[in-house]
Order: sequence, then structure tokens, then C-alpha cells
Amino acid sequence: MAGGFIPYDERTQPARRISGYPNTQLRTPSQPPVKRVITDVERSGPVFGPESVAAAEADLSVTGPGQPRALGQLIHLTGRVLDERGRPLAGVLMEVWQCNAAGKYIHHNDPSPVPVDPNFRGIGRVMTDAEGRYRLRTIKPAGYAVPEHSFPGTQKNWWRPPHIHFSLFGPAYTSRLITQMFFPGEPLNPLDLILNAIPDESARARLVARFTPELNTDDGALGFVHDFVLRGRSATPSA
Amino acid sequence: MSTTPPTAHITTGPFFPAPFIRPEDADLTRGGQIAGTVVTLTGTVTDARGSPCVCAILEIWQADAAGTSGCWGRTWTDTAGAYRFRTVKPGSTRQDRPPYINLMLHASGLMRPLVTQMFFPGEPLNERDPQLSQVPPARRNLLIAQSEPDGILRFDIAFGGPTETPFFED
Repeated sequence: MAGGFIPYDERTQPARRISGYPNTQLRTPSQPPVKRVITDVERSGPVFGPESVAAAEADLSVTGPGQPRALGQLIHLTGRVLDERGRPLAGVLMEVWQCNAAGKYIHHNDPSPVPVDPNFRGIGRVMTDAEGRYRLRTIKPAGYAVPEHSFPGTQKNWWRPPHIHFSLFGPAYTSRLITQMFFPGEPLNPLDLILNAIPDESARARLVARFTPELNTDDGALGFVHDFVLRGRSATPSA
Repeated sequence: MSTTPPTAHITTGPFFPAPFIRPEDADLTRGGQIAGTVVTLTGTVTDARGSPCVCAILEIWQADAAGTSGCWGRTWTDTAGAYRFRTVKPGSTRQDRPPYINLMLHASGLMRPLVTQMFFPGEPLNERDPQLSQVPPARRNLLIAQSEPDGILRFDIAFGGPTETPFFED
């Protein structure tokens, strides 16, 4: 179809409205979505040069050279960003953020009473190399209680499992992805309203990192591997 | 050839890092990198009850004034739910399309980004734009910015309610 566009598969993407998560109700449009026309503008996307990211930004566990490490289990996280056919995507800018080992974000809106860790950077940026690979160092984030009092209507006793947020800029405007990565074997994973809003079991499983002991390092870091798949230009047939 | 579906989107949540929102990213004309008619694009982001959405992230992606290369910008809403970009009016990339700006929104409670397009007022090609024509006629004017004095364009975004913005399939 001229100007056609293949939307995401609803089974492998999350439901937009989640009971017990009030902002999903208040911020989800009620009208049916408009069919989309894709042109060369949407088939391209912003390009961020390698110079826009500093090497130090790949380490969330320290605030600067010579500074003490943040508290918590140090982890080494690596993986690749691929298109739907498994081809590596180079030059993908990844923005990363997470809470600390006590469950606190560095953010003016976080009402949590748990402590700030002054040695935790909490945010990072990396760019994928020619093989689509990225490498990050951080600490394992804690699970935390979703603050019910800040958001009336929030499900009682909802805890977020430990997770890391990722924002990825792929090759096209239509490749843009913001997601979260979870940890294997966490008792909170099967209870999380957000993770379980994705109908397809294998799509949920692909949001969980793999513990990879061969990547453990002598300085106390456990190794995890996690890949991302972006919608490529191929998903948008030519006009 | 075997394919794997794209990774599932998940909401940014309420704690998108402030340092990622760089003031210079709200000015696409920075450093004179794109020439053309400068416009200030401003508006509010509100929820289904009309309440302002605070820290809603807006990303724009548009053609430059010549219609040849893409320009990206990002900002977020303040405590009143208001945002502001400085950019240039894009050129036409196809003969059948008027100038438009792609907008993508991320916010706590948006499990997937919401995408739409903003059109400019008084453009003859708006009448037969292939994308705008996909919008029910009664709602098309919700995608056309309103002209205000001093080169300001107002484009309010509503996630629901009587003036719900037409959002696109993703």
C-alpha cells in the first residue's frame, strides 16, 4: 500500500490502560488511532554523533573519576541492539536511568522516603558500536513501593520490581523505543502491573536480562546480557 | 527470514532524568544550524480531565526549511503543563504535502509513545494532505496550530476530553 505503515503487534506491546495505574486511564486517548502515512521524513531519524557521548557516561556506579562506588551489587550489563531480522544497529544512542540500591531516583518528583546515595550517578548514556553492542556498568536497582498517596487510585501494595529504564534512538523516527529491563528470578516480576500488561509471554520474557556468570568480573560485578529489537526501516514499506 | 517482534515499549514513568532535557534541544535554530522562518511553538499538555501534565516529554522531528534534512528537538512541560519550542517552518518534502511537524509524547502513564503531527494554519495543501485526510473531518482542525501575534503558534495537546488530540496508530 502506498504510504503504508505496519503498526506494532498488540500482543507483543503493552495494553495502554492498566487498572490500578491511574495515569494510564487519564492519559490514554479514547478515540481510535488515525491511520498513518509514512514519508522519507519518518523513515529517517535524528543522528547523534559518537562525540555526543562521553566514555564516563557508561558507568552509573560512580559520579566521577576517583570517587567512591555507589552502594549495592555492582553489575556489568552488555548486549546488542538489533533490527527485527537480527541485524545489528550501530550508532544507536541509549539513555539509561534507574533508582539506587535503596529504591530512590535522582529526581525532584520522587517522594520516596528511602535514602539518596550521593555516590550514585543514576543516569547514563552510551552508543552502540559497529556490532550493535553496548556496555554499561551500574548497581542493581532495588524494588520499591509505588507511592499510593501521590497518585490516588493506585493499586494498594504495588511494588515495582528492580528495573532499568532505557530510551533508544534507532535509525528511523518510527524506531524510537522507551522501555524497561527487568532482572531474572525476581519475586516481584509476576506481580508487576506494568510488565504483565504485555499479553505475550515471550515478549515479556524478552524484557528480562540474562544472568551470565562468564561475564562476572574480579572487581565485584555480576554479568548480565540484554538485547533490544527496534522496528527498522523495513517495517515501513516505501510510499 | 525469521524475524523477532520489536521490544515492548514501557512508560518512562515519572522520573525521566532532568539532565536529559537540555535547554538547547528546545531551540532547533540554535547556532544558526537551520535557516528559515523562525516560529515559536507553544501549548499545553492536559489529561482527560483537563488537568495539566507535568514533565510530559515532547520530541519533535521535522524537515528543515528546504525540506531536505531532518531536525530533532526535545523539551518537557512545566508545572502548568506548558511547553515551548523555537524552530523554523519546515519546507515541503513532497508536492502533495503541506509543512508539518512530527510530535512524539512520552509521559508517566503512556505505556507507549503517542505520535501525532502538527500542521500550519492557512496552508492550501492542508485541504488535501494524505495524512490529514485520514483524520475524521470534524477533528482535523485539532491538528492545525493557531496563529498568535509575534510569530507564535499555539498547539495544545489533550490526551482526552472534548478536544482530544487525534493521535496516530503506532
